[in-house]
Amino acid sequence: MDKKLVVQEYLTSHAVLIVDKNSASRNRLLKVMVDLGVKRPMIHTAGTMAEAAEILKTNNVGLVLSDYFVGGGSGFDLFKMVRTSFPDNKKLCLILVTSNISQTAVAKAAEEDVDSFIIKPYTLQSIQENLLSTVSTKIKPSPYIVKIDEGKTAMSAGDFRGAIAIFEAAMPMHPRPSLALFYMGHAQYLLTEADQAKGKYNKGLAFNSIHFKCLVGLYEIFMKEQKFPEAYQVVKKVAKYFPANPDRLTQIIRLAIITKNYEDMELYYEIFTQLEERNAEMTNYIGAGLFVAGKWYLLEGQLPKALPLFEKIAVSCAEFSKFLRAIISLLVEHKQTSEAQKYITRFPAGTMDHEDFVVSDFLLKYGSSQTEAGVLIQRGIEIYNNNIRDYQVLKLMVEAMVSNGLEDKAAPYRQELERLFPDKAQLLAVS
Amino acid sequence: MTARLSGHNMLVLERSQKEANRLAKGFKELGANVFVANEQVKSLALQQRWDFDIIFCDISFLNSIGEVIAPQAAGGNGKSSPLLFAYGQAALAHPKLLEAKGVIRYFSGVINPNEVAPCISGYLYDAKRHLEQLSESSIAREISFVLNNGSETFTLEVSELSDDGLMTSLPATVAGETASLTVLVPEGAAQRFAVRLERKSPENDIIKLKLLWRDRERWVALLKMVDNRQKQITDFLTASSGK
Repeated sequence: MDKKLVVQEYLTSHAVLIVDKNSASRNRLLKVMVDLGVKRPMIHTAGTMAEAAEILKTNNVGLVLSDYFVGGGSGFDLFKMVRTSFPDNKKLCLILVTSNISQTAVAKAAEEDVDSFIIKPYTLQSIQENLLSTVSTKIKPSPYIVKIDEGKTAMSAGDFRGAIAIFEAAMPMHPRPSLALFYMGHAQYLLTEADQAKGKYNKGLAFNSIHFKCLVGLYEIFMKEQKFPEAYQVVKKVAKYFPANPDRLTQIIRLAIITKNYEDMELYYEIFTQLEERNAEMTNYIGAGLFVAGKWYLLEGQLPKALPLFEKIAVSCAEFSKFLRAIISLLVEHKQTSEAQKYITRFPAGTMDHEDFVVSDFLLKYGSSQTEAGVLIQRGIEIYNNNIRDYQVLKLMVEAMVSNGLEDKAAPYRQELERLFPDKAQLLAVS
Repeated sequence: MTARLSGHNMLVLERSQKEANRLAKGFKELGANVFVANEQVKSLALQQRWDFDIIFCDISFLNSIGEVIAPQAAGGNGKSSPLLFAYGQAALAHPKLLEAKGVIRYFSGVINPNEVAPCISGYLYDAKRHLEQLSESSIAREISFVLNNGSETFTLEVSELSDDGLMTSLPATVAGETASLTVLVPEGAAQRFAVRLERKSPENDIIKLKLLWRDRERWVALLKMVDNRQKQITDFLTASSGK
């Protein structure tokens, strides 16, 4: 097969769309396509998602070259838009051309099933080879891929048994048929044959241990069966090789806590710090995960392992003052007041009258046994009268009242404590 | 006095000991770590032992047999080669000679270190500042290119590399014929190359940065590294999709 001829022929009836914020980059890629024999009128360029959308409306696009970030979105957003615009074009080629060569970017490209990932800067020879290879393979796929597509068509029509037979026929066509095994597994999953599906996914992974679809398929079955330790082991592997997906990271953190894999939390924090975009929900999850892990280490008597996790929370999750309050509260409770003191300065400016700061400040000042009882009680009542109900604040106040012969005064507060925190109330150090 | 050359190693190549001492003293006061050689053999020996950022040499050395810059220093092991500055009488500065020897800039007349230092430092890469900027941005994930032309610093958008340099865009108002190009690869060290600026046409911004000959070997090694990374990425995508 003369790849150049195949590509030229395809691009006589399908347009090329080049999307890049930088005009010089667009022009270089345009010249590359012209050098490959593509006619100039078939090549369109855009600097933003909006411009690209306009071009997609009026042109039969067969090849898209996009940078990682384009005006108004990412290359992946653009690819989703293109796939939506041309759902029936199986030969549509989506190629990322980007200077972002981080593992996160590459993993995301793998996850989003882009057809190729070309590093900028490129040499003329390497980009030409890459383009010709990628496009020709897409428009003249191997018999294996043709068979897979046939099976997928049968699945879309609801003929799962027929699809399985087709995927079986595809298997001898490839030395490592993980993709065929994935689709067989998927068909069996849709037939609610979970054990057979798992078997196919595992067989696929035996051929290729990082096959993304098999890994995710296996994970989803384990989650449905609520086999959390098994699901966690699978998704941990996904996170190792494909760290980019923020939604999956929240699932992983939750699973790590459920399965008590606290020592992995630092790994997920590293993944979190590498994310291109971090939203509030993501930050909340990683903060919670780090706190739970830190608390576990503290309860195990491993303070040196807990403290770095709390420090990471203070650095990356300070927008959630609840974490600072929780850290201070926990450390004071475990008689680590000097360590807790470091976190009071991490509260964002302007939050000194917020509940989290007020409680934290109280605990640091009055949490140790040296404090004058009268001052403690007065401040505790002030906090109570401001409608703040914190277990440790109430506890310290009630204990101080009782220790100083003020049982009658303590009574209503003790009742409130028992009402609000019934599980903990028996821990009161009073008779 | 501002230490413009602080942290950089400099070799002064001057036949007159008195003049060499004068220049060395002046550059030392500007922060450079200065070494002095009066003749070629000593110069080459010093270059074997130390990594120099700057060689500041009298033009008479350019006419000598052999190169001013030691071959091992000219790009062995991926290290940057020194930027070569020459000085002497104006009439002795033949452009072809300067280009053939890879001179970045020629200073004519009696040298006052205070006057030439700003120009020299304009070709040097400010590693500390750049790394601070990198740590605050996502640029750490990219191969980045910084151009110093003696008076300004430019962060370049580069799409294409060739065997002898790269194409980029620079405003038409950018002056100068030579520059130093620093390439930063994620998780790798910075590498410096000496380049000539070749503008395709005075009207547009497209410019070719062409390597001076002595840096070609290291440049080819850089291209190979980029190709290898490309291959790793392509192989990973193929493996993870199973196609």
